[in-house]
Amino acid sequence: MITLLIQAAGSIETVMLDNDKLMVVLAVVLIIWIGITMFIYATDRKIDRLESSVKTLLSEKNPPVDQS
Amino acid sequence: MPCKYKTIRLAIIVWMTLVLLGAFSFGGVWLNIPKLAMLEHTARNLYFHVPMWFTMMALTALSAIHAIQCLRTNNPVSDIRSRIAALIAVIFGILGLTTGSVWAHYTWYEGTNIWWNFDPKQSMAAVQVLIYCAYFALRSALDDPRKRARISAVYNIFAFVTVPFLLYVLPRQLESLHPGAEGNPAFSEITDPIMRVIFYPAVLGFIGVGWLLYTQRVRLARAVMTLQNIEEDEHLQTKT
Repeated sequence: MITLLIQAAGSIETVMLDNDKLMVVLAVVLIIWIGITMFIYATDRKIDRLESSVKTLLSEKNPPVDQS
Repeated sequence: MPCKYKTIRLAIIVWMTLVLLGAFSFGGVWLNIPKLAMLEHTARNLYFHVPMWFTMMALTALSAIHAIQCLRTNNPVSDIRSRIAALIAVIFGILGLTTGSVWAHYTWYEGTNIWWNFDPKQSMAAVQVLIYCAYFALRSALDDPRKRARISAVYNIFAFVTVPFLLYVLPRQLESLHPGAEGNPAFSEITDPIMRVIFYPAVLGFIGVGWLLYTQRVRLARAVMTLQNIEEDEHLQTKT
């Protein structure tokens, strides 16, 4: 099992060092992209919370008018 | 947050991840890009640098559409949309300028210390970004929100009209190192067809990312506007 893992790590190593180490750049770019994605999601959640609090504030200010 | 937005967001993120993977694909049978002298691996910058400008142009168009809408309807939300689209456009423009500068430094100006050489394409793009920066200067000079919305909408439409001239027409009339200029073949003639497989999806993906950032900012600005309106109402009520 451990030898298998070492072999897998070794093959990753060859892929990363092949082609003028281009895959290292891909790894870096993907890490940045995942970070940006997480940031986008976090910002969306924050805006969601803000919007819902604004909504409750609005409904407290102007309670819905009874149409009858 | 509507379910539709979540789906689109996920789609854009997955799409962009695939584009990034494709942009670096190498050594396989498919998507091998030709290795040219001077360009070498930097040819891959085509997938990142050029979509910045496409995204900027898409956002300026969006901004101008909402500026027209703002003049027609006087709707403050159109003003917000127009402003935010211009803001994200400026950000993508600055990214386009910096990435272009870095790319040029290591290819055209290899072995020199030049980062910025006032190449016509470069200069015109910088002027374009400055024209949109002036939009924000104009906005900050006007206090009355309705007046600000109308005057800046008019300026915005003029700014948009300059986009095709500054980014397409003028650089093509002048001698420039940038592809698509006088004495230089354009994209269609010098780009290997295989690069289009990644290039066009990259353009779409970056426009998608621009749209995500735009949508977030619009929602934020709308929430701020509602809060300001509530504050003003309270202020009026305490006065009377």
